[in-house]
Formats: sequence, C-alpha cells, structure tokens
Amino acid sequence: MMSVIAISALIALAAGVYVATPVARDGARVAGLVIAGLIALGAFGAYLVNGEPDLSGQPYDVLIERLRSTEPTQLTPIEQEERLRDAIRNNPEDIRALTLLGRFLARTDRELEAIGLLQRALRQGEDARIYSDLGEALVNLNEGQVTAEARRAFRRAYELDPNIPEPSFFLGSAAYAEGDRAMAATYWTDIINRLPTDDPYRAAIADRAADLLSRPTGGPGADGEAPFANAEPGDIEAMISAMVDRLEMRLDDDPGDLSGWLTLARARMMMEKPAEAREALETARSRFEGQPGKLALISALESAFAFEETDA
Amino acid sequence: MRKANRRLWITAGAAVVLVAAAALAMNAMSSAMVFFYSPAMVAENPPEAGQRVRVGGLVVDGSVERPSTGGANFTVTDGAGEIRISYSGSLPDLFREGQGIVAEGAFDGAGLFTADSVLAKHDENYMPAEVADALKESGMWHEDQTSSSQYQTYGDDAAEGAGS
Amino acid sequence: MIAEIGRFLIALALLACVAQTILAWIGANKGGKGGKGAMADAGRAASEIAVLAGGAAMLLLILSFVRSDFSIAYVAANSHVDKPLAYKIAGAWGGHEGSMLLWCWILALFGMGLAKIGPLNSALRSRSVSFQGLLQSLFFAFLAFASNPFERVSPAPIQGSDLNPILQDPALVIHPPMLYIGYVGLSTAFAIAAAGLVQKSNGRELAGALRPWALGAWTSLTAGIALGAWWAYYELGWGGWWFWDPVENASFMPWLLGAALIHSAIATEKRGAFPGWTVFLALLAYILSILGAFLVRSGVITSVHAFALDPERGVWILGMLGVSAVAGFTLFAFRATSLGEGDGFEPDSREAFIGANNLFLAAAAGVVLVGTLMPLFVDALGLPTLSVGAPYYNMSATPLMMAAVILMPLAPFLPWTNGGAKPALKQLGAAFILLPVAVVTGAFISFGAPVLAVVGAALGAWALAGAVMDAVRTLPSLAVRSAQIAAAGRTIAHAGVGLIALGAAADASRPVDQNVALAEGESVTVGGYELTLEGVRGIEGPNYIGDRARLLINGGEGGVIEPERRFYVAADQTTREVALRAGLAGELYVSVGEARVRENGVTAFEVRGAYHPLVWMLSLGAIFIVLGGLTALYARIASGAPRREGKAQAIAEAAE
Repeated sequence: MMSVIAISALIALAAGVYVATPVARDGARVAGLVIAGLIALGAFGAYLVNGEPDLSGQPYDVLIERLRSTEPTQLTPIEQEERLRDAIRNNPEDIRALTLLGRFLARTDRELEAIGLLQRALRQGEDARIYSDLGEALVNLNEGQVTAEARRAFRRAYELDPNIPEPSFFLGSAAYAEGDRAMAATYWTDIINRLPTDDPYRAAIADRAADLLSRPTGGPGADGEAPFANAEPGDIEAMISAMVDRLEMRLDDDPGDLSGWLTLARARMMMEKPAEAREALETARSRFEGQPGKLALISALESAFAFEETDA
Repeated sequence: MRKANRRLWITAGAAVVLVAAAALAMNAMSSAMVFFYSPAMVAENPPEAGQRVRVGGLVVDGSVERPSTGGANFTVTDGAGEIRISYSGSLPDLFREGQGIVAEGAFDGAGLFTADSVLAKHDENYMPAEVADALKESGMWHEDQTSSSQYQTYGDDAAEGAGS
Repeated sequence: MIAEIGRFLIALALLACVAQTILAWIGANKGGKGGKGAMADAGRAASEIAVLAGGAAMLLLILSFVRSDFSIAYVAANSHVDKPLAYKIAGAWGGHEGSMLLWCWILALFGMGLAKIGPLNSALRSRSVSFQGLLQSLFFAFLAFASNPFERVSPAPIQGSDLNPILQDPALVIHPPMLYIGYVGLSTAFAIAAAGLVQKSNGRELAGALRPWALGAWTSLTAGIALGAWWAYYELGWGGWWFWDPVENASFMPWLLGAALIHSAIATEKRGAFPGWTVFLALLAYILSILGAFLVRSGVITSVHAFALDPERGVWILGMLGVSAVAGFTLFAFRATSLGEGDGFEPDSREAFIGANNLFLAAAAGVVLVGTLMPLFVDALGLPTLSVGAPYYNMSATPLMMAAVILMPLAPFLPWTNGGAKPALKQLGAAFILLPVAVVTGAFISFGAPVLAVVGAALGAWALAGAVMDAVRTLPSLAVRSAQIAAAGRTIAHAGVGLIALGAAADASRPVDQNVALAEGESVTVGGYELTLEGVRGIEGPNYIGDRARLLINGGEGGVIEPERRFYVAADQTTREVALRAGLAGELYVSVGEARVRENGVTAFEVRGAYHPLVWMLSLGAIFIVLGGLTALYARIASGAPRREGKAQAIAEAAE
C-alpha cells in the first residue's frame, strides 16, 4: 500500500511542478505553487474516489506458483483444473494430466475440449480406459447417440480390454438402436458375465438391458407399422394378445431368443397375467441354465415387475 | 450577380436538395421499415403473410433441426407463444439453443416463418434489445440476469465447476 | 500495484486536462498576453502531462495483459493466459474500457498537437487548446469514474474469459486505433472552430487553421472504416462488407460530414465562400463522433459488433454529447456573424459545385442519422419496435451519394468564383461522360445486374475517367510544386471514389451465394468454380480447437482452399475462418459451418461458397482515398499555407 501511495505522490508532485514551472518562472511564485498543489492533490483525490491502494495484483506467474506448491487436495476444482492446464502447457505430452483434465472437462459439460485432450493423450499411446472415456464424451456431446466415431472409440477400447463395462454397454446400445437385439444381448450379457457380482455397473447394466430387451419390437409384422398406432383402446388388448401369440410361436421355434422371452414376460404382465409372466421367466431361466449374464437379466426384469403376489 | 440574387439561388438550391433528401427518406422509410413481433404478438395478432417483419425470442431447447441439405429449422419462444422458423442460410456461429435471436423474413400462409437473416450474439449480458423487452413483458426475464458483468459470470461458472 | 498506479495515472491525466482547459483559457485572454505568456505555456505543459500520464496508463494496461493479471476486471473479461501475445496486447483496446482509454489518450495527443503545432495565431491556438482540454476532461472523467480499465475484482478469478474470438484478428489490432484517430481527430476541428468563435476570428483564417487537422483525421477515419469493412467481409463470414449496421453508420456519418468539411474548408480558405457552413460542419462532425460512441457503447441499439449493454455508460456519454453540443452550437448561434458573410460566387463556379456536393453529403449523413435513430425514437414513443435495414439506406442515402459522385469530377475543371462551365466541359471532354456510361450500362444490362449496380458502375467509370482527365490536364499546367502535389492528392482520392463505386457495383451484381451441406466427395458450383469437399480434419490452436475443411477447386486443377471452423474454448465461442482465393476477375470465398449427420449416417458439413467479382477494387479504392488524403496533407504542410495564415493573422492583429 505504502509503495502505491509513495510512487503516486512522487508522480503527482513532479507533474504539478512541471505544469507550474512556466508560471513560477514568470515571477508568480505563489500562483505556481497553488497550481502545482492543486494538480497533485486533485489527482490524489480523484484516485481515492474508487482507488484500492492496498489491493495487490495477481499476475498469472504468481498465481500458478502458488497452485504448484499447494497440495492438490487443498485446491478448489477450478484451481485443480488450472494446475492441470499448467502441467499440459509445460509438457504437452503429459498423458496423466491430459487424461485427468479431459475427464474433468467431460464431467463438467465441456465435451468438445475434453475430446481434444483425450485424443491427444491417445496419440501418445493407446489405452482402453482413455478410449472408453473418449467414447463417452462423444456420446454425451451427441446427446446420447452412439455416433460412428464413438463406436470406433468403444470398439478399440473393447479390443484392448473387454473387461471395462462402458464400451460393452455402449456397443450394446448402439446395436440395440440399430435393431440388432441379439448382438445387443450378447454385448450386455458378456460384460455381466465378466463383472464381479458386487460391481455396481453389473446391476445398472442388467436393469437397463432388461428394460430395453423386454420392449415390444418395432412392428407386429412385415407391414412395419408401429405397434398400437391408430388403435382404439379396446383393440390394444387384442393386439397385445396377438403379439403374445406370435411370440410364443416364435419361441417354440427358437427358444434361444432371450429378448423374446423377456418381451413375452413383460407383455403378459401388461395383460395382468403375472402368473404366466413368471412362468415365462422360469422357462427362460431353466433354458439359460449356467449362463449367469442372461440369468442376471431375467432376475433384473423379475425384480422390476415386483410381483403383486409376493407383495401380498 | 447581385448579393440578394445570389442568396436566393443558394437558398433555393439548398432547399431543393433538402426536400429531395426528405422525400427520399420518407419514401424509403415507408417501404423499408420492418416491425418486430414477439411470439406473443404473433399469437394474438399475426402479421399478414408475406409482410416483412422481424421476430425473435429464445431458441427452444431441442427444437433445432438441421436438414441434410443445409439450413436449419428451429422454434423461438417468449414463454407466451412459439414461432417455427425455417432458415436456408448458414446460422451465425453464435446461434445456440436457449440463446436470444432475432430473425428477419416473412410468414407464409400456414404460420411458418421463413427467415432470410438470423442475428445472434453470444454475450452473457447480451440479448437483442427487442427480445429482452418481449421477454420482460412475458416474465421470462429476470433483472438479475443482466446485472452480472462478465467476470462475475465467470465466477458463477467457477462455482458450478462448469464452463458452458 | 501496477493496476493501482495505472488508476492513479488516469486520475492525474484527468487533472492535467482540467488544468490544460483553465490555464490555456487564461493564457488566451489579453491578460494572459494573447497566448504568448506563461499561462499559455503552462497550459501546453499540462497537455504534455495528460499525454504522458495517459500513455503510461496505456502501457501499464498492456503490461497487465501480458502478465495476465486477472485481479483487474477488464483484463479478466478480455484475456486468457493461452491467448497469443499479439492479441494480449491488442486486448488492451479490444473492449469498452480499454478502447475508451485509447480514445482519451488520442484526444490528449491531439491536445498536445494543437498546443505545439496548432493555429499560428497564438491566442486562437491557446483558446483551441483550452477547448480541446474541455473535451479531454469530459472523456477522462468518464474513464476515471464510470469506465475505469483498472477496476479491480477481489478475489481475482483463476482464469480470464478471453477476448471475443472474432476480435482476435490482425485487422482488428489496428482497426480501432485508426478509427479513433479519425473520430477523435475531428475533435481538433471542433476545438479550433469553437475557439475561433470565441476569438471572433475571421472565417477564412479559421478554415485555414482547421483544414489540415480535419484532413488528417478524416484520412485516418477512412482507413479505419475500410479496415472494419474488410474485417467484416472475411471474419464475420456473411459474404458482405457493408451492412448498414448501426455501428457502421456511427462511423459513416462523421465520415460523410468530414468529407464535406475538408472540401468546404478549401472553398472558405481560398475564396472566402460559406465560412459559417464550414464552421458549423466542423462542430457537427465531432458531435456525430460522440453520438457514434453513444450508439456503439450504450447498448441502445441491436448490433452485431456493439459493446455489451450498459445504460449507465449511455447516460454519461449522452451528458458529454450534451455539453459539447450546447457549448458548440450556442457559440455558433451568437458568434457566427463574426465569421463574415462569405464572398460571392457564380452558379457555375467551383465553390458552387463544392457547396452543392457538400449539401448532398450532408443530406446523406442526415438520412443515415434518421434511419439509425428512428428505432430509438419509435421505441421512446412506446410504438411497436421496428428496425431499419439496408433497403432504407439503399433507397435514400445511396442516391444522394450518387448525386455527389456525379458532381465530383466536374468541380476540379471549373474556375473559382466567376465560373465558366463551357471551357471546363470542353477540357473534360464529352466523350468521357458518355463513353463509360454507355459501355458499362450495356455490359451490366446484358449480365442482368440490378439497376442500382448499373448506375453505380456508370458513376464509378465516370468518376475514374474524370480523375484521369484531371490528372492529365491539370497537373502539367500547375506551376507551383505544392499546388501540383495538392492536385495530385485530389485526383488520387477522386479516383479512389470511382474505384469503390465500381467495386460496390460489381459486388452487388455477384452470383448468388451458395449454402449447402457437403459430404466428402460432393461438390457445389459457385461463380464458375466447382468446389469438391475432399475432407475435414481436426486442428488445435493455442486457445482453440477446430475443423479444417479441404476443398478442391475444379477437381484440384485450381488448387485447394481450406476454410476453418474454430471453437475458442475459454470464450466458449465458435467462429469461422473464411478462406479466400483472390484473382484479378474476382475472389472465391469459402467458409465451413456445422456438421450434420444424414439419415444414412454420412456426415455432411455446411459449406458457404461465394464469388465476389472485382472485390479488389474496393480495397484499392480505399487505399487510393487514404493516399490522396495523405498527399493533400503533405502538400498543405509543404506549401506556403502558413505564410498565408500568418498574413491573415497580421491583418487581424492590425485591425484590433
């Protein structure tokens, strides 16, 4: 603070004296003194209206020195972010900083920049985890859509390490979105098989997969019309039962269709026939004996139904 | 030439130019003036089909559709009404969902607005004046949104840990 | 500490300006020895302090940008550590507060200029230094109390929010300084005019004293506007260079009046014609400069490149506008008679044509003013919001400017005062009137160009032919070297006007811009060029990431063109970097926009392609006008003008 005041005072005096000199030289000493004094004091007064002489500056060099010398856990998220950026500035190939920052940005809705950083990290060396993060950022950027680019990232991640849950989940989702339920079921049940039973992802994937795979398929037949479109309420019942009949026939031919069994159970639940729904699940369960991934899906759907009888 | 004469023709010449300028301006104004309509005004009392107007509002989240041939279709709202806008040019870089924009063009008979220009500006504190007024009227605008200066906005972001 | 010293320096500069105003005023009085005494010297010393303090503050602000000191609110709002150094420096005048500091400093520089090399009449000089000091004080007070670039923020943010990416551009580094030298330079004409009214100076003396200042300021304003238009052309990516945007109008109105002023001042200085008008223009041009600042900075208008909304600033600027206008026009109302009635001239004399041209330019400025302010008036009256766009200006201002261009080539061939159109027309040669009109009209009609473009092209050809004739006939006939240089400046600048008219006409009749989504391998044809999208790849810049598209021109025979789309991370903004391929016949203009995924999963990129024929004529025209202005300024400095002025001063002093 004192240095600001002292320097300002010196400048003010010098300026005042410089302006007043011609007047003082002309013989009007007092007038000169008044002019110099007014300028100096006036400048000071005008400064102090809003001035904050005791507020020190914060050049970036000083700031970053402080961030570097502080324990990362003591920093706020935004300070950590800056520290990571600083690390990358100093070493643009710092994979750890690139990934950490990329992940942080992806989680704070800055996918575009996150994607750039993760791609940079991958250029240093391939890594399943980073590919998976990249894929996820791409999916978030495209509002949940697994684009071709995201799929490439997940596929590479899957090739490098099939035990990470996200690539399998999203690859399954992409297959599902294209209507390939068998492929989707394969991705999902495989990863559930591989994950330890206490992994939180296991239950999450099973729930989601059971929900998706048990939905009625796009159209009732070859005509491709959406189910229940333009139908009277009374007709819906009829259509559901027609669909159930078709499903039953299909499952007789091809009892290995997991999605078919799940859909059948769900449709029966909608027709308020819980006993038959359970029966379908039990049949499927015995059919898929020894395949824990598929069984997990069946259990997930079962618990989603929360059978009324068990409540009673 | 005599002084009085000289004065006369200078004055006359100046008057002719001024009258011509005024006539030009009035004529141009009457045919080139474009009124602004908020979605609420359009809902209440729509302009004639084909009349050149400006409309504006906040771009509705999820309403932007980008046909594969180019251009864009989107909806703007002021909370009291909505306008569907079709634009064949390239959207300004600052265009985004939730942002205030102004479009100039005309309505067709079916109530679709075809814009030939779209104006958007991204600034935390900026909102095209017409849009801000319309939003204030509809109650979607809160005064405190305008009061935060840019660095404070940065601070808000910091608090959320997000930079969008 | 640097920030606080900077803030103190602004306060000191304010006080120096106040001292300059008072001391120079006292110095100009008879008691102060008519500008030759100690008080006038002290006023000059104060003007030097204002320049030093303002300049030092500017340097400290730049230093704060370079050091990324985000404890300064303005730096935090306009910079970022990763921003390239050049734009860190330019950021010091990229936003409102910093550009206001630049504005103030340039005002102070002109104040010091007036004090050192201002009007030869020392009383007039000291008085104009005082008036300039008043204008400086107003703006420095605004800077210190309502727009301080050193305003602090505590706790300081970790990172800045970066300079608006569309401003991170080489043209935008020099555009504001050029523009401000122009805007602000017109203040000297105001100060000299106001001082002359107080001193009851003779109109001819006054016109002679203010002309070089007005000429210098107007030349710089021309360069500033041209840079701005060029920037809008390639950076905004809208495929145009002039949009009649309120912000553009804000600089165009002072430009039109400045153009009128530098011509009317010649007639007044040389032949004593319309002195009152010249002084009135000198006052009005600067008033419109401040009005422009108000429009741009108060947020009252919707514009692409307006500064952020801030009503409080608007009130301040309106206050400054009021003080300057009331002071200037009150003086004019009471003292205009002392300028003299003006000497006579015939209707076919050069004065008459300069006067008529002045009227057209002023009328054009008037209709632009009406169009710019109309939305504000209507809004104030509570009527439905309306906007006034390009069609209004094309129907009102353009015809008036065209009228001015019709007269422009004739005036140099007309004799002063007594006139005589006959020999002039013979000299000019009727062929030069008819030939370009016929040729260009025919050419354009066959291309199906708009009427306005056809007329514009004919006028451009007419102006260009007139300038060439002027150079061929006049230059050799002039005996005095300085007169020759002055006439050369005139012909160069007038040729520039012709080039701009031609370029504008060509651009108005360009083929329709193409805006399509292209997938790899697809093409679009524009202006006879086939553009094929070869691919798009990601790029990384210092503070942005983006896409760079690669398009083959005519299947690769014409080379490649690579527009970019950039996402500025910290500023959270996307911009387009237009790619240009210039040629003698025209320029290919390509920008790339957003990607979109088609139903079949193929990604297509929005591509905007345009072809601008003869667009180089616009740049060349602007360069010609600036060169012409500089040449005329040089002629003025090198000529015997000071001697004439000295004589006038001797006469004036003898009369007292």
